[in-house]
Amino acid sequence: MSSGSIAKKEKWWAYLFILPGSAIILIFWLIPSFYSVFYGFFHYDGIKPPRFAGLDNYTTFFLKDPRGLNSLKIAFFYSAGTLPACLFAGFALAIVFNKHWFKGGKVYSAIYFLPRTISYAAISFVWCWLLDPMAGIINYVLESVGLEPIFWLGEPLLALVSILIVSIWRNLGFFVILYLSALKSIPSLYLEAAELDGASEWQKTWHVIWPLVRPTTTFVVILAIIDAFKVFDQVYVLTFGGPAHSTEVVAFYVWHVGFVQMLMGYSSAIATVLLIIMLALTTFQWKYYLRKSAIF
Amino acid sequence: MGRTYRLVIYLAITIVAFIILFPFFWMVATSLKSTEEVFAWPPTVFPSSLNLYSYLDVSHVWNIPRYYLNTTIFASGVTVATLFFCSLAGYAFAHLRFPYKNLLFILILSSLMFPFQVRMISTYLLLKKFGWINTYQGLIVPWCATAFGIFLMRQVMTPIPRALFDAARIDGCSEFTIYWRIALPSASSGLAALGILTFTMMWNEFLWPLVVVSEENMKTLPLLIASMSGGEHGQWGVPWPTRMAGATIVVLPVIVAFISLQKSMMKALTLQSGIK
Repeated sequence: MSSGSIAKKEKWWAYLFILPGSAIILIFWLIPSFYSVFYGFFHYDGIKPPRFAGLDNYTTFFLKDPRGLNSLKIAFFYSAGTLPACLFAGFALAIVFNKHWFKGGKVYSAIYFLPRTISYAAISFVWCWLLDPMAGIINYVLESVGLEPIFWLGEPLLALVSILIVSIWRNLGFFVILYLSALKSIPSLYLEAAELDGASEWQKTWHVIWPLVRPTTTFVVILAIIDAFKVFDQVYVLTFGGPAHSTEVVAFYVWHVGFVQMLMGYSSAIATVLLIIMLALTTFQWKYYLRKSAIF
Repeated sequence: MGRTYRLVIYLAITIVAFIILFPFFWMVATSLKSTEEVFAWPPTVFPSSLNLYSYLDVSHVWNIPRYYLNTTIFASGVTVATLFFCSLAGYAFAHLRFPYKNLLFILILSSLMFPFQVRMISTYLLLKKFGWINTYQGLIVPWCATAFGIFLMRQVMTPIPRALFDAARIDGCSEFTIYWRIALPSASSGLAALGILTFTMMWNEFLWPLVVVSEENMKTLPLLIASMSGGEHGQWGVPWPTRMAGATIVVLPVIVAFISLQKSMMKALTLQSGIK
């Protein structure tokens, strides 16, 4: 058999193999994305034929609709609120779990990770009950130490804080696990050298370990920022965007505009703005991810 | 390291662990209380009697077995298809030679630049055109392959030595047999991780079924929460024990799975990035 026909056979097999995957991605990922940009230039309610709108939707978003830019702002506050807490707490916990004298690191990290395996919607629902102003147990605890009960989900700023609390509670374990595996891959060489130089625990942690886990830190920072633009489930269940749109993150707003207000053109325009923001962020993320060596 | 210092740390960590676990306990405890007891002040920690009434309540209003069925079909359908299609493509990109290979790979990866929110409306309209709203195929097919899955499979398969494949080719095996008998088994740890990750994420998926499904008999478990919380399509005024019973029903299988498969689940779920 000539090498030409072997190569030819291999070629056809290859195309066959990548066909189903590529077809799905083309039809359901790439094409809809481009259509989204396209729909952004139309007014469309999903039933009557689309009407051309030029840049109307975009001007509405940037100039006329306060909820639009507000949703971007809320998403930003979301990441600003959850990221530092999760990052530093996760790092600190990982340091502790990694100490040679700490027993039960595996059990504890599994416990901390548990919320992350659960449906966000379901667990937000439980938090709804915990934070109930009248009968929720958190307010009971506050009252029993003499503090005023807090109207968690009822006031604008507090509602956002509540969402942050739920998110931090849920995601802490993820950060712990990531940092734990980063810590385990630090060669003990560095720490021994630091000890020989007389470094204290504190100095070792901040000046040796922290810089060495910077790749993980960069990775999670970008991941968290991108995720802030996707936050939906807990907002839907806990506050439905309220009160007074104070928790209306971008992802929720895009959904609301498109499926509740039935303004699919406008929703697509907002989604396109979101796309541009995410393109920039995802480029950073994948540059990092490709550099990370194979996990298996 | 002073003794007291270590003790304090253990205490703090354990307290945080309790805080992490408490909502789960409270969810189950609430579901077992009567509607009156739930509003008792001070609240009772343990239910005064094991009251399964709220679970009966849930099953009277919502067809729970159907919810489980739909969620299982959805999650397994996506997982099986994803594992198959992504490993096929991953193998091809890892070990077969064909024109435009790199270009196609980059094109596929580029799809990750477009997050779900951006595709949401158009995918919905596309499904509507196919008549796939409120159907299993509508739920499953758009997720049958992800660039992330293909990327992961390629990563996992690349280290497999060429010699294995060449030997099989000399023996006259077809490419598919090579894929099925050699590449797949060698990639089993990657397949397991991708499978666990995909299944868990699809089981928990909320926004996608919310968009695609409006008919009661096609809903998945997370949508039960939507029904109970009021919101857009839901019922108002569902009593708290019933709501917590609903939450327990949704959450229980995953907890059970996590307890038995902790390590694999933790490993798989930390791969999470850019699937949506």
